[in-house]
Amino acid sequence: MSVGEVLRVIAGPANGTDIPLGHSVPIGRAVQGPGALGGDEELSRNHACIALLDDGGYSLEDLGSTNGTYLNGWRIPASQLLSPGDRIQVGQTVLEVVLAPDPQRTVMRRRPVILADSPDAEELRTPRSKATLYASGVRKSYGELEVLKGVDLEIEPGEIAGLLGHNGAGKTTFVSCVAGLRRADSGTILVNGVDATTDPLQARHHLGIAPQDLGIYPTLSVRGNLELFAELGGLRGREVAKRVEEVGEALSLTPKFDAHAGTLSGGQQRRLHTGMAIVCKPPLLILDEPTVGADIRTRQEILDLVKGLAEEGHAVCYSTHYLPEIEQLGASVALLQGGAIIARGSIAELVSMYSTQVVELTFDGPAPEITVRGGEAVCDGSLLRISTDNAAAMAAAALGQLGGNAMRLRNIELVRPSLDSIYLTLTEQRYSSGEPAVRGDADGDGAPQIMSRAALQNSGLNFRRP
Amino acid sequence: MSRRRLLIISRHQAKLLLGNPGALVIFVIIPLLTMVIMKTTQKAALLGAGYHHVNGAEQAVPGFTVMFAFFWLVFVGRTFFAEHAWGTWDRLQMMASTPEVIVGKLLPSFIVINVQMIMLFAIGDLVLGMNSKGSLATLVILAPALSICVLALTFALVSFCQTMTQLDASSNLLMLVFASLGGALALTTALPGWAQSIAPAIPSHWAMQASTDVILKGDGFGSVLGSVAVLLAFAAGFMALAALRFRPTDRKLVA
Repeated sequence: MSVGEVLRVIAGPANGTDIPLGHSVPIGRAVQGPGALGGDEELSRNHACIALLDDGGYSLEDLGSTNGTYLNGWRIPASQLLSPGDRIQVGQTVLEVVLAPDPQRTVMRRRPVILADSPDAEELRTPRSKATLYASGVRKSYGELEVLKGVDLEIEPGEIAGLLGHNGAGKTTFVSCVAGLRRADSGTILVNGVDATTDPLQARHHLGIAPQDLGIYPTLSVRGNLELFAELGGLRGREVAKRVEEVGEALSLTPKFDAHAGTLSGGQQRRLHTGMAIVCKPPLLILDEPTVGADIRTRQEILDLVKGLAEEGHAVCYSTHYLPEIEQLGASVALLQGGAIIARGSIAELVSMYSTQVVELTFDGPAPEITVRGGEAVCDGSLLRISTDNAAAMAAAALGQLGGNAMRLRNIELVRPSLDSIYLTLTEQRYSSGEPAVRGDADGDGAPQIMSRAALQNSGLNFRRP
Repeated sequence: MSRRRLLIISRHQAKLLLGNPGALVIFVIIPLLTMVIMKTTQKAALLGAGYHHVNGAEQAVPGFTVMFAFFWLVFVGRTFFAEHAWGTWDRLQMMASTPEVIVGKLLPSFIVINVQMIMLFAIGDLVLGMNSKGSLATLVILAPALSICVLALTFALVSFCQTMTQLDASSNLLMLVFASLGGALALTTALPGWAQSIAPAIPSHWAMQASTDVILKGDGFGSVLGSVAVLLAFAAGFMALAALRFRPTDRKLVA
């Protein structure tokens, strides 16, 4: 043992204490001494053990605890070798491993000591993401109806991901699965490294959610509502009051702190609803249409708050129907359609992939067939669509080609790529198809990707007015 | 189950209950008024049944105490439906485990029902001059057992009812059946034969039996223990039924 080798408690009831190493350290409520971690009530009686190995190193082993033992964010299925700087979470307590650096030991870190044919072996072989939200192949059915058909989504710390999709696309079901309110039929969901499918309660401690429907206690004060969720989120004592004040100020609710929530205006209630989700500063924040019914001021305050949280490193999953909000937030886009993510990327990436502009001419009666240079014209009933790189120039050229048909021209529209037009195209609301939604997988690796318009055309979609 | 989260939810639920103090007061005042009104009628019934040195309070006090304990079916059941109406049920589920939410919500009601029963017995004894042959202290263990039984039945009703109308209707029906057939309104021995034969299948019968054994017959702790055991068995049965049907993701409608 080197001098100064300790387990440093950096969060929890015993915060600030050092537990000397040099011998094995049992952890649990039934343990006498520092291993009881100040009476952490979320520990199992015999929770875990840090064992001194023959080579002077240490291993961490869970002893069948109820809430699990986490090493650097991952729930450990079996013994793990410890390295300097490792963080162990047991119950409400986080311990930092303070050891003398040992290159040989460091090389071996994170190598699991498990049987190759154990159920945990396959899990550990799976590459893990460092994303705050990692969802892979999430499926969920209600009876015969398959709502989620393999959703893949990662959101990094500090990222705001706009989750878009029309009503019934599966957004709320996906959010419910992430939040552990519904169990996914298959797939992996990790929230800050915690498996939400096998350990939903622990995963919920890493996320805050403001559901689509308003959820506040109307007979409690604004302060009472915020305090309840701050305390349930694990904050204590002065921290609760401090955080409640911060959120109240950020959402302009301070003057209404002692008013019953039921007496607030609609906008104030919406702000309180959002505030209850963020009051305990979760690593992952899920906001399901947070600005529905909100006035301009409320909307702006919520957007500012979300941006501020992202800047602090929180990952945000922001579900909305208001596409300008996505642009205002500078969010990346995840487009959910037919139970799968069909497009994922930044707005700039999406726009660049859909850079084709379109001129649409609508006629009384059948659209005339014309030939234009620098564009591709397609007739569809009374609609003439011309794909081009320059919609304005093409419109002028097309009008010159119409001749006598110009008298039948009813409307002309220049369609430039924007998030709105991309959304409408991809969700087939602008141009309908007889086929179900297309999920891009051109390279056949099973991973969803953005599809180009050409790819959409080649996929058999017919460009028709809805 | 985290004790801390349990206490936070309980404290929160207590705030919600105290936010409606009118109901709490009514649940003490109304049964007291009913006891006063029915005392004379109950005296005649007791004398007719062969009990002497009685003034009617010996049946009225335990009867209406037991009857009004079951009034909590609606009151507590509605607090679950209120969570759905307010949109807070899912939010609570997000922050705590389902057992923590349920036990946390029921715990303050458990205390309030116990307080209500003890207050009614105490005030009934002091104000109405109940002539109890046995020690009323013997009945102290009856209060928690009956409270647990009432709350377990409440949870079972919440599990089975999809709308608040269903909850109200079924709760009111059970309250009336339990009061009339369980011996709360009249001595079981005064009921028709068929009613006497099904009375043991009703929890309030056992609460009344324990009360009658102590107050009218002067029995001791052992007699009360038997009834307490049956009440707890009823509670276990109701919980088992609830466990079969309860789904945290079920939607409840306030209609």
